[in-house]
Amino acid sequence: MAEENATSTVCPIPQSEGWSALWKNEDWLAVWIGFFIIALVLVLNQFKVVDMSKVTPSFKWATDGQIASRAAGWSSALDGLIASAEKAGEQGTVNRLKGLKDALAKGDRKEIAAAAERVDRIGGVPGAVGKEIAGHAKAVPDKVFTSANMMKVFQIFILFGVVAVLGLYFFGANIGKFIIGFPIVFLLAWLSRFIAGNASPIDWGIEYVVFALVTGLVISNFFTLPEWFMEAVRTEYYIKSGLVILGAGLLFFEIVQAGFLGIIQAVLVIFVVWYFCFWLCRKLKVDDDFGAILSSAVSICGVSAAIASCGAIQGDKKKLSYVTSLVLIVAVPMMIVMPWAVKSFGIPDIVGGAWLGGTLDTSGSVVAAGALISEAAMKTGVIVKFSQNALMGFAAFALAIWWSFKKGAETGEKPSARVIWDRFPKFVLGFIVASAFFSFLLHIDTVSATKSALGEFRTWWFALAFVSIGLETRFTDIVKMEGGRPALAFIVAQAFNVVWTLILAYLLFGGILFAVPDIK
Amino acid sequence: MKKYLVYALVVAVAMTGSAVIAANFSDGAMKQIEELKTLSRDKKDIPESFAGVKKITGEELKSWIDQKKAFVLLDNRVPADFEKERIIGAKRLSPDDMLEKGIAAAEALGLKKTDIIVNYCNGVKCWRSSGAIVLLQDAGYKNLYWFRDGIPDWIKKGYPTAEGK
Repeated sequence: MAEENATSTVCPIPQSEGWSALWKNEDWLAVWIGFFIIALVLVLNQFKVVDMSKVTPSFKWATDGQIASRAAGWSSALDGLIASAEKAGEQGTVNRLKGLKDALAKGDRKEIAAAAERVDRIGGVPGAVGKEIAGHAKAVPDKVFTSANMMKVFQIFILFGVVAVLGLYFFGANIGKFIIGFPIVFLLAWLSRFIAGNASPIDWGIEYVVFALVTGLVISNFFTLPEWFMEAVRTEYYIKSGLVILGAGLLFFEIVQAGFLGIIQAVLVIFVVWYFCFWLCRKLKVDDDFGAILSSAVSICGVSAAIASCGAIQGDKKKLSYVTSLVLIVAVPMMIVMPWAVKSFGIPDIVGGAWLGGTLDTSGSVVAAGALISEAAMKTGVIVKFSQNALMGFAAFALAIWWSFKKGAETGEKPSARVIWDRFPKFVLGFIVASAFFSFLLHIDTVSATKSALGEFRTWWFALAFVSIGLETRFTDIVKMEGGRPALAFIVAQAFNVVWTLILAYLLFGGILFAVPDIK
Repeated sequence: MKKYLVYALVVAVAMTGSAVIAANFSDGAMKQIEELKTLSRDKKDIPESFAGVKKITGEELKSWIDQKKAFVLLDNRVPADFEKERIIGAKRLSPDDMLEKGIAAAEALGLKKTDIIVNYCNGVKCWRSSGAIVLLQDAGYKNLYWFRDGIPDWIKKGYPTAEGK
């Protein structure tokens, strides 16, 4: 992104790169990396080389104190279940629940775990409670550090390292620096997942992404990071690779169904929010270049839209980094507050997901915030986000035409189909192909056997990406330019975006204008 | 170098596409199995009944066991589930075993076509007991019974179970 062309202050015009784009472009690289990992998982599973249900390391842990402090709450929850089981005459259920209550009173973790597992097997609501208690009771901190568990993490580290290096070799990045920096980024990602694996964050619903972000932010804002290290801080590369793998987890009918509504929502969001933001920028005397990049970032999809629009209008690169930072920083409170709002105000998961997908500017933050709500919210958010991303090519095209009219013939680039293609986020193609492959060509058994492994790999890419976002973001960058007016415009426009998109999400995904899409 | 990597990728993708499933059951039965698996994957209930299959409740099964009636009790789940907890006296035979090894998997347990066979798994959203019935029926087994509510119902009622290998 910003460091590719450090000597020039003008955004490079995206050139038609021909076939070499297939390995020189970060988007395409992400596609190949995603495909390679998916293919590897499928081959190893098919020939039973690796049991794909066992590659996922465990991060869950609770201290004895945390178990003890929860015991009273669990016990009173069990009382309610015992009463209703007695009413229903389910003697077996009653006995097992009482057994668990006794174990909780004694406080021996092994006994609690065994009794809770016996309750888990009853199924239904008691089963869910038993499963939760068993999960916490079994998660002794030492379990995360067993050699078998650490080995799983190490294997993933090696796999990701090799794959990332291969990709960057084609990309032409500095491999040496990357190899030194990558283990540190990976270690930070591991640390974030370890913190997120504790019982308390799990109870509060705070996911690894938040810790990854904070870890990165703290480090980058308190220490000056060496230039060699930044070679391994590759937000978009990690996020897009993760998103291609996410495609394997989305079944096609879900995209088709929500994709139609998603596209309607995206068109309405982009048009209305773009013009509102641009109008606001002029009111606040922010220049038109800045206004165009800001408006695209707010209305479409953040960083990549900002880059594309900057390219389309040949904007100032400093303005681009300013907008990029704004996008990333504003996403932090939004991705924490919005899922909380969805849960607290009882907004349906799917409406909430569509809301997040339409407002959060980075694809990764949509995933993160969606994950704080539910799987369905995350998937809907991603679908809406992709619809919006899909329109980015058109938006950049329209922007480029408008700008070329405005600036006259001086830009020298005539808008063409090529421009749309060059602006199009290629990783979206990888996502669609992965999704189609898993929806139509693979057997259900293969899809379910590889689900957890692919989910695990996706999570690692996102953890790496969020550490990187934190590392790339500086609080001080924001305050300096144009007296904070662009930041003000961005925040106000974003607030407008949040309200407008929520209204649209309710109308489109809340079952008001159309049937609620079936996403799980 | 780059070329070979691309070739390797193509080969890898092609290999995964060529998944072969050993099937010596009829197309109709295989189709039914796919439908049951899909229901289970989507967390939907398995149909209430199947043509030619008799249903049995937990209470009836308990009285059969108490009366020492001559019948075979099949636990249709995966080994891990079976080892965790099962109905006392159950033998384990999952549809997965039969799809892999054919009906020989049933014959290895000494099942005869005329035996009275009761099948159960993890309840109404579990496809394995109905799946086993579909395959056994397809292979000519006649006296099939289905305990649809399965082990969760058995546990709720507080009937005896066995744990371990």
